[in-house]
Amino acid sequence: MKKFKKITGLVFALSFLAILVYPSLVLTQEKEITGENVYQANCGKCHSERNATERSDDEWAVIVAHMRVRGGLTAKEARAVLEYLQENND
Amino acid sequence: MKRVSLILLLMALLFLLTSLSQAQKAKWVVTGYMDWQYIWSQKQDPGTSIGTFDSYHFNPIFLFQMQDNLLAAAEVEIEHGAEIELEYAFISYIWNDYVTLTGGKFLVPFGVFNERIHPTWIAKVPTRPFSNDQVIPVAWSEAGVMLSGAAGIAAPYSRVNYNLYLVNGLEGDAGDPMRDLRKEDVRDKENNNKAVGGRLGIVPYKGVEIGFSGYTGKYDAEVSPKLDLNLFGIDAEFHHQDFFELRGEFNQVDQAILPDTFIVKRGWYAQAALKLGFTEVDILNPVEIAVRYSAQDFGGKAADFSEITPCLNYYLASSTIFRIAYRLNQEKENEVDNNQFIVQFAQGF
Repeated sequence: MKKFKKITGLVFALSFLAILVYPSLVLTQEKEITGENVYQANCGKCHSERNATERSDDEWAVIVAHMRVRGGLTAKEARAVLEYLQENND
Repeated sequence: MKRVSLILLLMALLFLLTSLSQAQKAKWVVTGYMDWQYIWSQKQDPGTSIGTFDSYHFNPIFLFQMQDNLLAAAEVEIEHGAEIELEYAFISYIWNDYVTLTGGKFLVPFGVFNERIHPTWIAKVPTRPFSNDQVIPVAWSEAGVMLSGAAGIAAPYSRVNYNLYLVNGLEGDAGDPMRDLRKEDVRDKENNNKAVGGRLGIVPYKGVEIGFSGYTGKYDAEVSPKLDLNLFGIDAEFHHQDFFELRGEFNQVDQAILPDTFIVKRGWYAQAALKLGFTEVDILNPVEIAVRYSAQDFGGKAADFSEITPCLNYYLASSTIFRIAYRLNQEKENEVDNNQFIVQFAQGF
């Protein structure tokens, strides 16, 4: 049990170290948001990404409006996600 | 009586949906989640155990959009195949790009576990961490009003988001466990002191969010002056693409048991999850391994517990998960055999 705790602690410590290094990798790469990236980074961080084909345009409009409020997205991010889902749900 | 009322509510919601579909003006979606599980638990008597199936949740969620900026939502929770509750029901008005006003009964945005990730198809590990079960209650809904919103800052994907709310607050007797302070009826009939709270979330760059939560109110109706209840929390999460997640929360409760005497309850959890899809080995694509550590510190060894739960998730679809977990519970004093083996099947719909 103690060994397991130590390994778990080590995994968490290394992961937090990775977080410190991570910004230099992402901040230099992207200049403008895309709906796909917002979807992956925000919707996918709470739950597994749902396939865009699961819902119609109207249904995505309802869901994204609600998730914007619950997930703390900006209006610009919500619009980008909605556009991405509606373009890819055929 | 309560069950009849909720069944009537469900019928009213279905009637509303039918009416809306005929009117073709408002838009709506029925979503939600359900799950069943088998839990085998060690009991404190050596060599004994108990195993049971549990139809844990069937929680339909009704989402409405009356206009682009006018929303309503309700979730009915049917737990263990018998207990029916209205988890939340609220109306939101999106005033502008930065401010949304919500009124009704809503999930309290204290940290993110309660508001965003407690449903079983979303949580990576079954059962709840001590910090979000014994320290702050989950699911925790309150009746009141809330302002929320978000604004972009500096780089793409960077933003701040906020929630600020005024609610009836928790209620109970001096020193009651936090879970017991939730009222079955969310109205304040005895204690006129409202509680205020809020959360500030910061997304410094894509994949990371750090949040700070606070809550202050009175919780006792019998003692005068009324007893204070102050909560503080920090949450943090990190995600790399869609396959690695690390998150944690720390919560502290300062609960008065006499006007100037407080007991302090602290709890925290850390959780990591790794989807094996990145290996590009077909058989591992639907597999995710997760582990969570959580603990509570109530200032006395007798009530200080911790747990580690390794979990294997198998995704049959993006929102359908079959999981196996083993929860190793540890007591700081008087270690007892109370570990749990859990098989759970969870479905978001």
